[in-house]
Amino acid sequence: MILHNRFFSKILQIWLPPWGYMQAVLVSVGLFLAGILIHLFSDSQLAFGVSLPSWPWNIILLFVYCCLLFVFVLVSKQSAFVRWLGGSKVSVVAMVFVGTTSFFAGTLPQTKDSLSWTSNVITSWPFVFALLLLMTNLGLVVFRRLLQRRFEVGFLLNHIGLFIVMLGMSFGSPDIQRYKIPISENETAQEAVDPETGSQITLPFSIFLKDFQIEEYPATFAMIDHETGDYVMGLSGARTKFEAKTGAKGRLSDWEISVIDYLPSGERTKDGYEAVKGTAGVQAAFVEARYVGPEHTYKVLMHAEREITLKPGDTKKGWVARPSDTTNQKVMMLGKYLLAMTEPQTKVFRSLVQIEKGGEKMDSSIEVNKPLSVKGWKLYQASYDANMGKFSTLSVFDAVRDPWLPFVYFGVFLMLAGIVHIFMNGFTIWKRK
Amino acid sequence: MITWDNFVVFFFLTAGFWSLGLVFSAFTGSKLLDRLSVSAFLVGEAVLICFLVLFWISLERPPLRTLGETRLWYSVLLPLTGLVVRWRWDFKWLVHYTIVLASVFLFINYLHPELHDKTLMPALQSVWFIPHVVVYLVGYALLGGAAMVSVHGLYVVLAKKSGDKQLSIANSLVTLGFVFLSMGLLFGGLWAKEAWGHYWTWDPKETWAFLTWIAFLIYIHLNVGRRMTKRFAFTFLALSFVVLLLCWFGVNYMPSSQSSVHTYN
Repeated sequence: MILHNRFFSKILQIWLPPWGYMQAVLVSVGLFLAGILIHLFSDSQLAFGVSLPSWPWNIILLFVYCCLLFVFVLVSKQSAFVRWLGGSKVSVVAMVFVGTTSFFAGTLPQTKDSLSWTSNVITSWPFVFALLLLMTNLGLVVFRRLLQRRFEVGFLLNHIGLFIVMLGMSFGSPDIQRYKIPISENETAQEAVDPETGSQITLPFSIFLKDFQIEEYPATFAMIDHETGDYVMGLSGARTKFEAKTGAKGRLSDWEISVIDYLPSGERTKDGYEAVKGTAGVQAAFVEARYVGPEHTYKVLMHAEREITLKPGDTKKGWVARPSDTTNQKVMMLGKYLLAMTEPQTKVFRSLVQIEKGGEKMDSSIEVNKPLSVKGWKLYQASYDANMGKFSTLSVFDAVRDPWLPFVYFGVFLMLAGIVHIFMNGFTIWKRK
Repeated sequence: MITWDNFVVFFFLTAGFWSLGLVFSAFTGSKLLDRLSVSAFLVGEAVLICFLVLFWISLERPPLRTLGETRLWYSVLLPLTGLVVRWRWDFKWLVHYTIVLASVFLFINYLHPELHDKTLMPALQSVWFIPHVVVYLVGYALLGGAAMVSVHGLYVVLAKKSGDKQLSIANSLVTLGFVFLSMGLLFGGLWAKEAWGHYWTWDPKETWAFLTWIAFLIYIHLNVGRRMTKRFAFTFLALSFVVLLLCWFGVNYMPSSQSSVHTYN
C-alpha cells in the first residue's frame, strides 16, 4: 500500500510547478495518444480527420483563437502555465512533435483509400494537435513580445511571418477551391468539376479552347538489338543521346548514322515524308547508315533460313519516323539492329484560349508554369488526352481560387525579410547571455 | 563542345590537383607547402568550375535536373565552403573533409555516368528553377560543412579537449546554411503556386524538406538561453545532416515516393 502511494505521489509530483521539458513531452505524448484514440473510436467518416468550417466561420474562429491567445498573454504574469505554454521548452518539444508526425506523412504513402491515420497524416488528429500546440506556442511568443514592446526586428519578422503563414494555411484551407475543367478544341466551357466529389460549379467566366498544342524536343535515335532485346541509347563511348538534327552524325553500336534531312513536323507520303506546317506532323528523319563493324553474317529476323553477310562500308538509306494518329512508326533494319526514334520529350504544353467575362472577350494562352488569372481564379494547364499524345484535342485545366493567398504571402515575405536579417546579423538571440 | 564524355579528363585533373593539395598539407609547419596546398585545391576547383560552365553551355539548359548533376554542383560548392572557413576562421581541417567528400561525389558520377540530354520538362521551365535549386545546394554545402566540423568537434570533445572553436564554426555555418535552406523552401513554395496551383501540398519531397528545416530550427532553439552540452550539439548537427541526406537522396526509395511529383533520377 505504502509503495503504491509513493508511486502515485511521485507521478503527481511531476505535475507540480515549475513545468519544463518533462511536462512538455508528457503533454505531447498525451495529445498524440488522444489523437489516435479519436481515430480508433470514431466512425469511418471522421477517420479522415479534422475539417474546419469554411467562410465566414473560419475567420470568426481565427479571431476567437487570437483573442484567446491575447487574453492568455495578459494573464501570463499570474499564470505559470501560460508562461510555460509560451516558453522555449514547449517550442522545442512542439517542433519535435510536429516533426515526428510529419515524418509519417513523408515516409508512408498518403492515400484516401486507406482509413488509417498514417495514410492521411495531414488531416489526422495527432498532426493537427501537434500543429495546434506549436501554433499556440508561437502565437503566445509573438503576442508577448509585442505587448512587452520588445521589438527585435529579425526575431519579430521571422516569428510573426511564420505565425501568419501557419494561421493562413490552417484556417484558410477550407476556402481553397480546386476544380478541373476539361475542354475539347472549338468548344466552350463554363462549368468546373470537383475531382473528388464530382459536383459542378459555374464559373464567372467562360473559356473557349481554340487550340491545344504540344511542342516537342527533337527526338533521339535508339537501336534495338533484336537478338538480345537490348537498347542502345548513347552514342558509342559517349554519355549523350543522339539527337535528330539535319547534318548530325553519330555512331550507335557498329553503325555510323548521318542525318541527311530532319523534319520536326512531317507527314507521310507515298515514298517518304514531307514537311508540314506547325505542330500537326510527326518528327521524321532521312538517314544514311554505314556499317563500320567487322564482317558479320547474321540470320534475318523471322526468316531464319536467310542469311546476310555485312561487310564494312555497307550502307543503307531510309526514313525513320515517329507514329502519328493515323500512321505507324517508321523504323530501319540494320543487321541485327532496328533503328528507331524514341518518344520525344515534351517542350511545351500550350492551350490557346478565349476568355469571355461580362461580354468582354480576351485572347490568351495557358502553359505549364504560366497560369492565367481571371476574376480571382487562376487557370493552370493540368493535362490532356495522353492516349492521343501530341494529337490530343482535349485540354484539362485546373481552376484554383485561394482567397487567403495574399494573407499567406504577406507572412512569406515577412519571413524572407527576416531571413535576410539573419544573413546580415546572425541569430541575435544567440548573442544574448 | 564539352559533353559528359569529357568529364573523365576534368575528373582526373581535379582529383589530381586535390590529391596534390592533400599531400602538400600533410607537411605541417612549412609555409610554402601550405600555400602550395591551397593553390592546388583552388586549381582543382577552377578546373571543375570550368567543366560545369562548359557543360552548361553544351547542354543548352542549366545542369540542375538530375541527381548526378546536383552532385556535380555539390562537389564545386562544398570545397568552397571549406576554403571560406579556412580563410575566415583559420580552421584548416574542414578543407580536407570537404575535398574528400566532394571527391567521393565526383567518383560516384564517374562510376555511374548518366545519359544526358538537352531536354527540360515544362514543369522545370521557370525563372524559379535556378534560384530554387542553387540556393538549396549552397545551403546543403554549408550544412554539410557544419556536420563535418561537428564530427571533428565530437572527436575533439571525446578526447577531453575544449571543442569551443569547432562549436563556434559549426554555429556560424548553421546560421548561413539555415538562411539558404529557408530561402530554398520559400522559393519552392512560390514556384509551386505558379506550377501546380498550390504553394504547399505535402508532397514527400516537400515534407522531407520541411523535416530538414525543422531539424535545424530545433537546433537553433536549443541554442537559446541555457546552452546544451557540446557533445549533444555536435551529435545533433551530425544527425540533422542525415535527415538532409535522406531528403536529397532517400525520398526516391521511400514507400511514399510513388505519389511524388519530385522524383528525379
